[in-house]
Amino acid sequence: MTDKEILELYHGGQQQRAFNEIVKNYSERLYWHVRSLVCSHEDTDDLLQDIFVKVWTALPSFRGDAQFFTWLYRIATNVALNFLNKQKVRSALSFESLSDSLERKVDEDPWFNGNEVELELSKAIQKLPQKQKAVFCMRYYQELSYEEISEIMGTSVGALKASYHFAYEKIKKELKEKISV
Amino acid sequence: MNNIYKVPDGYFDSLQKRLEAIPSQHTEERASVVAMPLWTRVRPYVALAACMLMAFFIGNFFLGRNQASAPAEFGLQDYYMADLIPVTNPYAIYDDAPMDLYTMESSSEDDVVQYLISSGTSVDYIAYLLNQ
Repeated sequence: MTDKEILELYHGGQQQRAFNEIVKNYSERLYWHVRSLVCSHEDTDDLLQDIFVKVWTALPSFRGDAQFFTWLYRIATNVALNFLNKQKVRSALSFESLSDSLERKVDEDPWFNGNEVELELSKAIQKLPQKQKAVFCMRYYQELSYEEISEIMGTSVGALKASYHFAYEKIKKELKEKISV
Repeated sequence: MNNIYKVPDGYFDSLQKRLEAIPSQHTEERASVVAMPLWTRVRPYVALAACMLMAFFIGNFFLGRNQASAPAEFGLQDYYMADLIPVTNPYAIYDDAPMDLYTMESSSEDDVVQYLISSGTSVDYIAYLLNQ
């Protein structure tokens, strides 16, 4: 079912059915998106619950100004970034940086499915500033276009390209150091 | 989509079922968000603005009253200064006053009398001192 059909269903009074269709179409995509940002399967599972509660409560206020899927991604990205901000405070209290804590999570993750280079890539991504990380993950893992990311993040395409470029350079440098060792 | 992570077997089916249960658990919450009238949303801001306005008017009222009651030509600061300056040798308050101001002027009898009057000494006692 397309986004348009889902929204028609929703406005036609079949709200529960429309929501089920949203879950069916987007739960997996949003799972991978959030997972690429927060690393841990358990955290992603909790956050998805929050995201879909937010989607359900905010659905009546969706006016259709943006594409439906970018609206969903925006909610998911904001929830994930807020979670990372809280983690940052918690990490600071335990005298550990957020990137170290995330790197540790990648290392200890029993559900990691990549090879050694992908592991290093994933760790390098965790060292990026949060917005750069979000842009990089959406472009690299989710393969979204700059225009779509621009709608999700509320930033210009030019700024996103610059952000992606900086992220790419940092990761390249990080991987070179790791591989040369 | 490049996935470097994996999930437990059957995870997405169970996730879908759990997420589909959200509307039945959160309908009241949504109703409260949707039905929130404009006045309820702006009420905290209106209360804050009213408090600030009240503080401004009360402050303005008291400041205005204090300024009106104080004599214009003799402010509080002047009052304290007057208490500090000696009647007989006002220059003595300035440490950097030229030396000749101390040495040149000697206290006359009138100065002494004026000092005694200002310090609250009785007229009889001053007369007694003058006669001595």
